[in-house]
Amino acid sequence: MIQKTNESEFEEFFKENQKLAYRIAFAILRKRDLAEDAVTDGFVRIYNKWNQVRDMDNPQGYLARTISNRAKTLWVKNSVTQGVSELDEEAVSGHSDPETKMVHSEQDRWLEKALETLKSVEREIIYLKDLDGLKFEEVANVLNMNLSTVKSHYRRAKLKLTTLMEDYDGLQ
Amino acid sequence: MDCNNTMDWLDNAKKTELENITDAEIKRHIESCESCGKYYRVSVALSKMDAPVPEMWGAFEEKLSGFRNANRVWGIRYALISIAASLVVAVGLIFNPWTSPEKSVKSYPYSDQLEYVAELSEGRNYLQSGNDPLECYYTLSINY
Repeated sequence: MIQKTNESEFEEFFKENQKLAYRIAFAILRKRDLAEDAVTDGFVRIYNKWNQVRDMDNPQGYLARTISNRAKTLWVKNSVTQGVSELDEEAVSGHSDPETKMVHSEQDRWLEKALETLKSVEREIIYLKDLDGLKFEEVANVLNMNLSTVKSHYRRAKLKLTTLMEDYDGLQ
Repeated sequence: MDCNNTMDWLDNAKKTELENITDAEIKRHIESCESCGKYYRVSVALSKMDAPVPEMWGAFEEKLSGFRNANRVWGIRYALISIAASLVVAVGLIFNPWTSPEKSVKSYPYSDQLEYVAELSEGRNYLQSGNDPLECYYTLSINY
């Protein structure tokens, strides 16, 4: 149980980092409800250890690892019971109304499908870098990876997407 | 400007920089190089990705209260189990038939025949005293 003063600190931490946590979870799970589950589970764990986590050098990194581990566990559980192959398109595109969704799906469908073929770590980096607008240094810090590793993963992922775009263009 | 430098630039460029490339050299290279042109298209597509993040504080609070309730229930269960176990141990210690001196003497099958042992230790032939040899052996085996 944490004290009241720490509780408001925790709430601030939650609100600052829920976006980042969600991106990481979604990169692994590719389903909005499961990603939300992983994020809330991860934050409950962090809450129970908040007195230790707040004094850590890199609490964001700890959060990222916790969420990532939880998401992987959920992914395994879910793939055993249901299978997580179906992509939650709305969650990636952000379009919920059918009309926008249709236009969007014609333009960027290949990107969504292509993102699915990437490794989860590559997706995590792309989401953090391109969706959250983090710099490479920040991504490396959050994911507890070397800067050069992050950059090479990012480059490799984009080159894979380029190849898939070529295939898509060929079909048009 | 080579492909590697162009891709480095594209990797580090912000969304606004991608939409309006001011560096003439980079722009020229992207227009002339097919692979960098494709890399540029991917970079632009990724920068335009939009995925709203749901507000999760409410869901978190709900889960936390569920977790607390579950913890409270388990806490009560553990407390009850501990109390029950302590009571069993206490009752067992108080009414233990093996530790009671009266019971132990009574339940000891040949405790009233200890004189045979004394006879033996004094060198007497207990077999001649008309007792059952098996009983005597048994007494001896228990006492020594």
